[in-house]
Amino acid sequence: MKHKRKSYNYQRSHVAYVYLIPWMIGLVVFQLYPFLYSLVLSFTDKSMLTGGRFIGLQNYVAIFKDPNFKKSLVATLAYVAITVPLKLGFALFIAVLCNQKLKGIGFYRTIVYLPSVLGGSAGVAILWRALFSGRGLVNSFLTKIGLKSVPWLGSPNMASFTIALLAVWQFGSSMVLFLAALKQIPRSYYEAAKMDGAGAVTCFFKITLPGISPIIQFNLIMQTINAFQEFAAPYLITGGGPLKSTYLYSMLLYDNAFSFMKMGYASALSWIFFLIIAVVTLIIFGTSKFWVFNENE
Amino acid sequence: MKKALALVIAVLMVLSIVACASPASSNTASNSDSGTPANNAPAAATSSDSENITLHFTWWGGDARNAATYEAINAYMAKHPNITIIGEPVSWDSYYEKMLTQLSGGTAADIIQADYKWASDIVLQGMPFLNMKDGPIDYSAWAEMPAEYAGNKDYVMGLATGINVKALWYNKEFFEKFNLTPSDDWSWKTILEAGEAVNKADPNSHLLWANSDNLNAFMQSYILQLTGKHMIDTENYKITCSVEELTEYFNYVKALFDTGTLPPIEDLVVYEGLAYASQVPEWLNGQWGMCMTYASNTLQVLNDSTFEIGTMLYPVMEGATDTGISMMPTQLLCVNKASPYQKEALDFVEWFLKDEEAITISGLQRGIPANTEAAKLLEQNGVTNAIINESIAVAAKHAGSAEGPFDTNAELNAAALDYIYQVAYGVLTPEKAASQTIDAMNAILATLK
Amino acid sequence: MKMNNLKYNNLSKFKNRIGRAFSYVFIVLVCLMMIFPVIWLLTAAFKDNTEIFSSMSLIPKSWDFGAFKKGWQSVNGLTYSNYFLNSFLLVIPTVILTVASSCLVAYGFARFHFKGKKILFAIMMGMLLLPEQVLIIPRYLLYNRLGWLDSYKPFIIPAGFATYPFFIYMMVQFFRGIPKELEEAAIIDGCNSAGVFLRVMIPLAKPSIISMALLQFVWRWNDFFSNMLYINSVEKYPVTLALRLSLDSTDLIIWNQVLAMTLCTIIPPVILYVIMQRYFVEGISTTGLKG
Repeated sequence: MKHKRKSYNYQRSHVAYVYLIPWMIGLVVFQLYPFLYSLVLSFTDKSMLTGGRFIGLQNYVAIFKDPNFKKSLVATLAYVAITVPLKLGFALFIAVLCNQKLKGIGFYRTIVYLPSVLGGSAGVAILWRALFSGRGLVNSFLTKIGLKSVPWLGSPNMASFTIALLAVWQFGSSMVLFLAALKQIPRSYYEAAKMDGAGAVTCFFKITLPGISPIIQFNLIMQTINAFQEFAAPYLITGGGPLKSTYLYSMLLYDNAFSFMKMGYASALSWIFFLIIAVVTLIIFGTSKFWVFNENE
Repeated sequence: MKKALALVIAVLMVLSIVACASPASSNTASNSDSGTPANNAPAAATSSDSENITLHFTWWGGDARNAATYEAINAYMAKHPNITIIGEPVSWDSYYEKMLTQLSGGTAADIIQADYKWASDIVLQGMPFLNMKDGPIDYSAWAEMPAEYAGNKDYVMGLATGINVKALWYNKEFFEKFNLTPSDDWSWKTILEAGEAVNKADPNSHLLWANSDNLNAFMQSYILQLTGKHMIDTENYKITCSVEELTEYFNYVKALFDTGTLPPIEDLVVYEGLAYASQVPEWLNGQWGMCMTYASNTLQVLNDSTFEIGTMLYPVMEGATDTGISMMPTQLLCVNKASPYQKEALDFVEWFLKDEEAITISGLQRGIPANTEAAKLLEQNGVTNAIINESIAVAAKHAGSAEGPFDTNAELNAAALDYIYQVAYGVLTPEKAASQTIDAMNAILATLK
Repeated sequence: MKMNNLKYNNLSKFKNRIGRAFSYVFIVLVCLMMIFPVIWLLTAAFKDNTEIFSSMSLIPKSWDFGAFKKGWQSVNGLTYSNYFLNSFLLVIPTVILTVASSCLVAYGFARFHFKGKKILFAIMMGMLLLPEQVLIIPRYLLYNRLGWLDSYKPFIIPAGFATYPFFIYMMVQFFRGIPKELEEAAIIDGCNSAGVFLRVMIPLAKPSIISMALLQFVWRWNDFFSNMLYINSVEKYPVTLALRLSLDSTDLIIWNQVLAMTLCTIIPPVILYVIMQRYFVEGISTTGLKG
């Protein structure tokens, strides 16, 4: 059986390039150039409209003396650590709930997706302030039920979490993918398991989770990358404060590139960031052989 | 079904390849911003006397300003049939970034609205705008405004559309409630005393609201009034004040919070990114009674506040030799150096700022006009705003020196703000904050040389 | 034995019912949490500025639809009808091309072993990892060179060349999840790889293809940043740009109009979601697979 599978792949190996042609063209024409351009810039003193002298590794050396680099890296790691598990856990949970045959499920499924359609529009910034300001809706609800109000956006310890809530609230894309993955598990697997007397919990852990594990991996990697690069939420709502607790790395990049006009330095910052994300991604990939089940590997 | 799908995919792939293979031919269809004549002039325009010209004009604004600007553009085009002006309104929050990107790509509009705060950076970035100094537009009728606001002594990057000043605004009901008397000789100390009294009378009320811009500007004003010297020495790229002097400022900031003059930092920081007070519920509800502001923010705040608003002179320290209060432009109109139609662009700018029809159409959409003749004309026609007028008149009476070119530098401001907040949150003592601020700002200044 | 079975059945039915009740309660709670902020936005469209920013009440003082009517009008005689049309012209071709190209490329990655696969895959993923902020200028210069600025080409054409690694990787994952036996059966039946792709993989991956289309639609529809950079003429503005036209630091902003239009702009993606979600529900019947 194994031998047969291999030969199937081998025979058609040259065909693979045909399928990859559009991507290769796109890569060379649209993606590689900006990519390499920024790499070159990172070794120059390019300002927004002037400069461009080669200065070797000076930008990279400067990064490690920049107090904001460390601050924003810490803020970003905290944000990733809060957002990713919360968002994915929530999305998977809701997807499983929404995958049931309940009355009016289509309606519920639409409701939970609504916030994700709103995206990062200007209305969202107003909304989040209305909800989480000192005397905002959430705090007035908390005080009504006898709890203490919380400085959601005012405290450096809380702001990161409050910003993360926006990402969690907009969990729709992960949920849609989980739903699609759930639907792709052949029903016959469950029927067979039922015959063997397996309960719902056993089914979930033995069939559902392994069945959607490639998509769990996908969502985990993509949401981690997305969270690392998050920009809109802190930009719209906190502006990076208080005390830089939500000054995410992409804000640092943005400020250096467009406010301080240091394009070369911003490019160097990006490439350091690139390495950091790459390492994290590789770690997730590396661990996945223990928990991701692929049909054909 | 499957065959249909296959067909669709095949067709689409072919289409996309074809579309990409001919970028040159598609060039004419796209409206290139660089304004190359070939793109803009149809074949008919071969006669040399009335060459058809397309100018691009970019600005930011709200609904009212957008409408007024389009009206002016259309009026101008009706008078000059060979000139087409394409309006490109861009929202404020992305305007600067788009402008910089376009300038670096050589695709920026011919006529560009700009903020005076960008002046020092624009000078450092190679002055991409036409120098208006001694240029073809006579601006002798313009209100007196320090040259620094539009570049420097030799370079004027654009003409001011309107006049702006720093001011204090207050809620009149709030002042009555707490028995405060507005006057134009409030000092920083007066604010502190009044703030303490207000907060004692009602722990939920605070005298002052300030955003991050205000906090920055007030640091520089405070130091200038205290020492008589600008905080940033532009000649030598150094901070002029001593650690002790800056400590005094940070002590004052700390006192603003300790006395309850400013609301607790946890509440204040939520609104730090807002340009004006009218999105702050506590302002609208009358709990926070005064704000530091620019006169140009009047329209929104007046519209949204349900109470009467008064204006006062920006605070000045007792015994200050320099108030640091001056006229500044609301916006600047600039002409792109890379524009192929500089003369036509200048003609439009001149008409836009000087022609009676244009002035009437624009009204106060870009502030009280900096062109004093235009301001007079509007006043005769009853187009005026009492609060802006009063703010400007009071500021003119107490005028001091202008902001320095680096006073609004984004990087310096961001660094200073960091320390202001660290004092506000009690993370740093005023002494430590002062010495660290000076070090950080000196380090940045060294890179700006 | 029979008795036991009956008892077991009753118990499991009971368990089922409890589980169901729990599901209902939970989903309604979640829905309330999700929808509350949206409702706040909706009612804010009926308030004036002062009320929006100062009142915590959900119910506006009056139900005046004026904001929707006035907000629909935009600058220089344009209306939101123009902007909606523009958004469709930009988004629909982009989505179709993304779906087509990403499926092709993903199939190549998912089902073949070839020289350099690992490196190519790493390059593809690598394109995701560099932050946007420093790519803005070079990308802008590139599109300027191609003469594509102020048109929808910077969005549509790259989409035809699989420049969204997110979707390639996503489809790779879905294709990998499809049982291989079905393809082998098709090959034995005489299908070549294109036949396998079109007759087996595409139909089997329908839920994921639909979700790709949906996600891409929503993201392109909401995209602000690249729209802002590449499109200059107001006549070509999609809704995201139009929405911010009236936001200014000094001029008057009439927020209820902005919010009213914000709500209008989410209608097309929501309708699309409602239509498409039945494909997540249906799933695939096993009989349909082998055809």
